[in-house]
Amino acid sequence: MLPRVLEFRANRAYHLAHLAPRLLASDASDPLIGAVTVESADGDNARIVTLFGDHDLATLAVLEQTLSAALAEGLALIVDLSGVTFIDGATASLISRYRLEAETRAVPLVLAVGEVPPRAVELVLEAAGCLAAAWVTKSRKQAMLQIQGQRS
Amino acid sequence: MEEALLRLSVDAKASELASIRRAVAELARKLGADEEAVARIAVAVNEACSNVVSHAYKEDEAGTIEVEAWARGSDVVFSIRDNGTPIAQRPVGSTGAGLGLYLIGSLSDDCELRHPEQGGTEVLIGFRLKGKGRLHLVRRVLREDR
Repeated sequence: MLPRVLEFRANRAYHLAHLAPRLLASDASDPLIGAVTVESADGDNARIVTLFGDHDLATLAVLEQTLSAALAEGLALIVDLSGVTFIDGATASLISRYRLEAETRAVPLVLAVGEVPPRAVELVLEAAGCLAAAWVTKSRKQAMLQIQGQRS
Repeated sequence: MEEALLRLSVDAKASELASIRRAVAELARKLGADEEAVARIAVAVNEACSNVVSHAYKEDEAGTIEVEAWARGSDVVFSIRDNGTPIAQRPVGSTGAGLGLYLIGSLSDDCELRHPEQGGTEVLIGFRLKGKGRLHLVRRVLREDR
């Protein structure tokens, strides 16, 4: 079942990509072009920003817009990477930066990296300090439990 | 020098990065790299190319990224070359720049930075697909170790 997707407008066009990452590729042989979606969770008390496919400089601006808008709402935030196929240093650094920004705003931000991330994704997340940290979980479910635990 | 196994010349645009990754990963697999090595190669080469996209050329300047690869035995070297602003003159502290250089250095088995006579920058990244360490992998593959 497709999650309910909310569109955030923050004084600019806000790009929401389709949940199926291959739809953004011009043909089946193209690499997975990155997509980002936002959905409501936990009875509208949290937002989940989900990344799919390859994420690099080509998708960085959209991801930053997405995270900025989601963080501006002041709700707990889960960044779900379980569907990514590639992530570069700039993307990992961006997520780290938003994690720090969330902390200064006292907004919980938890990263869900997936049960078995692709090795390339693991290498980059590890280098960025986004793999074995208190704010990192394997699954979206664990991330939600962590956020709910912080709230109580 | 041996003939290059890979030769790409693409616009220095972010939209080209995925196709570069796919090409280098495909070559790595053909050379017998396991998935760990393929991952290291894809990430390191991507970071070098991203640096070109982000910093080598001015905003209104059209530029290219040239990617080549050579192999010798179980060692492979990738060259990422541009003819833009030399890397020493590029701004530091940009988003992810430090992490990118760290990734290139930590994931590769050898790495060299050169400034070709015709200008620009060439980053040479070497990977050992099998066996133990060798010194000066880049120079060995490019046959510059004589």
